[in-house]
Amino acid sequence: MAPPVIDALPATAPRPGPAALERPLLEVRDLVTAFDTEAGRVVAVDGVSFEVGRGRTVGLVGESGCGKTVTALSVMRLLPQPMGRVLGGEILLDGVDLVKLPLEAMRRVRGGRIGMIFQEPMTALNPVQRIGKQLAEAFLLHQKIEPEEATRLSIELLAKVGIPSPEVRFGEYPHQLSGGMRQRVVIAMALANHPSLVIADEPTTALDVTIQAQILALMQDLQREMGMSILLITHDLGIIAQTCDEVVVMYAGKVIESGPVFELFERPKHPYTQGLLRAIPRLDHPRKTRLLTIEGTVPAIDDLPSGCRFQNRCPYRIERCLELPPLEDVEPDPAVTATSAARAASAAPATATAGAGPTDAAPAAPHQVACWRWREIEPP
Amino acid sequence: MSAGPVDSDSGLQAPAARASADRRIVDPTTAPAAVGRTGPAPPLLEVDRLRTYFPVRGGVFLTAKAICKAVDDVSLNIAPGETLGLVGESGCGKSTLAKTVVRLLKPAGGSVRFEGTDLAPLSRRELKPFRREIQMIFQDPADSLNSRQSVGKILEEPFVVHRLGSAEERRLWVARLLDTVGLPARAADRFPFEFSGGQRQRIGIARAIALRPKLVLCDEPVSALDVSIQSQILNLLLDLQRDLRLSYLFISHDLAVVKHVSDRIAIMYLGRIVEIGEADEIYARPLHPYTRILLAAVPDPDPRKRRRLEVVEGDVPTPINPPSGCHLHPRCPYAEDRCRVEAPVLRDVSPSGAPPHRVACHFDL
Repeated sequence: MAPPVIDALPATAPRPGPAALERPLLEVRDLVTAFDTEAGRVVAVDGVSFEVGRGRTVGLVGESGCGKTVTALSVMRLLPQPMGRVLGGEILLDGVDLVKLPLEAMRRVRGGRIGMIFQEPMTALNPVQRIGKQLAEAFLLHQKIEPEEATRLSIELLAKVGIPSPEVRFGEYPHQLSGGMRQRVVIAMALANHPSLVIADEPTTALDVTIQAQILALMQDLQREMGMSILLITHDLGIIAQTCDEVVVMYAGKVIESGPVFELFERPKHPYTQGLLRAIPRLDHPRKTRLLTIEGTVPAIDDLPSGCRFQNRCPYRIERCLELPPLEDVEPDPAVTATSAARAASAAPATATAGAGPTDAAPAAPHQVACWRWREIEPP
Repeated sequence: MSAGPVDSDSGLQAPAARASADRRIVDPTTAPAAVGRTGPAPPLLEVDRLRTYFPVRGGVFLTAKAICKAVDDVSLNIAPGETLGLVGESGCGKSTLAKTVVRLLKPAGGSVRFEGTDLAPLSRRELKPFRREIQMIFQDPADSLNSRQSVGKILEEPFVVHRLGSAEERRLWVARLLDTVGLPARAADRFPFEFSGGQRQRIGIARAIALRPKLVLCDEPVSALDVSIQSQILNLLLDLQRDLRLSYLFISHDLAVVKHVSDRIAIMYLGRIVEIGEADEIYARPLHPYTRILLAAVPDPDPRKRRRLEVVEGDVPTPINPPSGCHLHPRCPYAEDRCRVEAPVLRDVSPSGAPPHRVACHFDL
């Protein structure tokens, strides 16, 4: 294949050709992102690799400071400047390395092929500009259309994301909307140019639980209709379980486990993943019992141990953990795979393939884990 | 161990002996007033028809334009050693209710009886002895801890304010408190910003239990914490309750967290309690449409139980101009004409002999 040129990334996404279909939409390989602070260089993301298949939803999960948001900002090239920078690795969108893309071309990608949704919608919205104007701008920046046409498309899109009386809302300011309605506007902006990838960073964390359900259902509906891939960053394992096809678990700047959502929840292999799944209170568990905990705290990013970064909290720690364990493939459990496939097809709208384009063509991601002792660790 | 028991031998004592023995751990100066009372324990806290209103001001002269009924005719009890979970979405009045109970806010009506004494009409000075008995834990302890004071100073302050102990004794009590909440003794010389969120919440908890209160109001105490830290803090709160026989009012928007720590649960919507009962009963047999809506909206952390998240149309309305009749009617799938005009009262629907299960809905769902 000829080296991709910038023109391979037009503002709006055409249906990818057959050759492009063979590769995942987004491939992040050995990403290293660092911040230059007064105290020296801090590596926040250290050799992270994962893929997002076409039409798929991939969850990036981990605790605060694990590097999940920095990973997302690296993909979007929105790292805080001048401190943040990508030191190594590739971020391939349809084979084009976003890290090497000129700034101007990258601007066309953002809001074009990649849509973005953030936790706090007010950070994405201009408080002194009418909603309609901001939304129309999203169209006008990326498409050669008349302002009247942009207005028409904006109102149409507001209706599509479930905003009542969109013609009225079009002329209002962000503060006149509730948090849930604002997030719908941000989703509309993210989807304006039919992106092939939407990056959503804790999109419902600031919302009430009933509004969260509305927003998650909306994203699922829109994905089914428009076929985009979603990279969902969250700390909420419930949201991952309900909406994602695959999960990437991060800890202290590294991927420690990844794989299909059923595999990972039913056969977690990394002690940290197991600990997380056991630590959450569940509605169907007996009350007032002690929760299993992960003792201790995450090591400071500028004071990481050599070797496995989970070692100071790990009940399975051995001498060898002073060496960094590589990500290894875990053989899938045929039983889990079969039930998950059946359930995914019947119960889960996020993975439903009808009308979603080439979802079913994408092979399932392998289950991988970075732990020396994963073979000995039994699922909970 | 993140949270050792407060007193290694206290778990072996009979509850009655423990209640008085516990006093000596931190605060040896007073004996409980209720010694000698017989019969079933009365509720520790009895909130009756409590109302907390705020004027909504506007216009040039900031005149009151409307009244926001943040807490609107709320009644509930908490027994000694019990946890009442309080659930609801933002703006439902759950934090205002807690602040009214500790009298950070003055109620517009109703009563807040603590061990039989109504706190509602009391003056600041009259309230002082009760401030020792009722304490509060907040969501983000960073906001409630003085960043210029060392942790030792912060934890010593309650004793100083209430003139307890000599400097030497207070130093000892602070060291014990730190140990109780799972922090090293050297933490006393450090400052709040040097600690992680989970550790800061431990400091907040240590301050709350310093004077050995009977009731602790926990307002979203784990909402800002990561999952692995959240479980440590929940365990600590459960340990402290067992060892110190604390009562909790536990406020959270996270239904799984509330279920885990609570004996009984109250669900609030726009200033009113819509359902209250035993925790297991509420989760197994939710009777109010709003409770069902909330439970259906929780994403289950089990992909095998994947389902379409139930969506209820509409936003959470504000308490400034709430819908008429039953506040839920614009969002309720069961609403009929009656719901638009008549506010349902809380009524007990439990079979006779069973613990009360109260629901404010016109229908038997």
